[in-house]
Amino acid sequence: MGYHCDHCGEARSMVYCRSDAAYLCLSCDRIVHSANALSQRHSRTLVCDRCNSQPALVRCIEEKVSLCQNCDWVGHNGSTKHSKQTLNCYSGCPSAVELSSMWSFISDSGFVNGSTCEQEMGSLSIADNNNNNNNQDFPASGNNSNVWTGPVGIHVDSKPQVGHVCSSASKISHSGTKDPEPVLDDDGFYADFSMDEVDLSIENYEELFGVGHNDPEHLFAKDGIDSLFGGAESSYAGKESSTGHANQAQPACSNAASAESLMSCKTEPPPCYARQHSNISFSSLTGESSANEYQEASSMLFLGEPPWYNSGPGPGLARDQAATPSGSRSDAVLRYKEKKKMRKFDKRVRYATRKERADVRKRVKGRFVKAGDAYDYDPLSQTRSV
Amino acid sequence: MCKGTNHQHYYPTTSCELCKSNASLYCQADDAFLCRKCDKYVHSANFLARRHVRCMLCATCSRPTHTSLSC
Repeated sequence: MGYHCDHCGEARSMVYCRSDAAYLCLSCDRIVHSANALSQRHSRTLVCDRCNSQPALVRCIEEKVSLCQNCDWVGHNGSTKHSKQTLNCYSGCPSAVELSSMWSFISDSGFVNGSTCEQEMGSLSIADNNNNNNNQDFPASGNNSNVWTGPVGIHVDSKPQVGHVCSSASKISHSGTKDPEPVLDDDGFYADFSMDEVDLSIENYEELFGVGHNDPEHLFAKDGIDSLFGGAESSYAGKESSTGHANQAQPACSNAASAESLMSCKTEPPPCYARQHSNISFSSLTGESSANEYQEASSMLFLGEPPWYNSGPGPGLARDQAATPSGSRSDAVLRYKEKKKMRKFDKRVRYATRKERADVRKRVKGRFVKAGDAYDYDPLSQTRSV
Repeated sequence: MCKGTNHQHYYPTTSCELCKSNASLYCQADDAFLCRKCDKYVHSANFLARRHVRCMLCATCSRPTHTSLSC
């Protein structure tokens, strides 16, 4: 599971099917998911290039890799400013042409093989006309499946209609990365944004990383200030810095959304006031001077806004807060469910060489002992040779 | 005696999504209510579909029970 396709077991897995919880290569994915109406509804995503074990969420343009959330955190932990592109999932039976237009950065040989199956898959998808019944649950994917069940080929007419909702959502999320992607429309075309959780998670993900991908000195300055002050003020610092970063990155709607969410019971003027002050404080890098400015700002704001501060989230959560508390919770729940599938409680040997060494080591009563010394039967009081 | 669980979404006397007859099973992976015939058709297609766990629905209130299909 993971690297090799679950179906054929030979090719490297390219996509992950969430409903089947299976990793498939492109040809097997087409075979499996064209079988009947229910399997066509499954949403599939690309697999992470680094770990090959989790579905990929973003594509790093500079490194040209698709990364899952873990590898992305590990690889881009606020220290690099690579431009990223969110990967969308698809459902139905897209042909090789459609897949390559969706993921325009891929030029694998797998797509060449796919084109030979086009006619076959086209006839299969036409034969199955039950996709209209799926509109009750997935209105957006219903639109998608209407596109798919036609003759194989791209339906340019319906493209702006279907893609509009998706591309606008992805545009909002992309503004956080400061990268005006010209490929946005194509990416939004096949996105299955009917599920609210997917929508929220992508937007929240970008906000989380919109914070992380700004100036790294700001993060260090914030940590410096945190160490100077106590825990009570550090939570305030965390919240302010995140809104401050959001303001620097994008004076757009997602900024309002994050400000709104973090200070949900506040009115408009105080957040602006707070943001301006945090900008002033974080623009200077020196610890002492910024600490003084920040202290003034925070003391002024504390006088004005104690009820908000008291009702805010705890220090540990301030920095990681997503757009809404329920948004971050559903993120976490999805992530938990994905990881739950990966759990293995079996006995697992991590290093075979260590096992070999361990097997031949001398033991007394099941415990390792030093080879040279002599032991009697009580390992607690070992005799030592002088 | 109703053996249904407190599942999140349930409809009284659900109809199968493919053939519109009375549904007797629920597939969690597909998120679909199916009748026995359609379930047999859909889930015998390939080994990935065969892996899906399907729950029987309570006859009274059509909520998924703890009984699952053993085939």
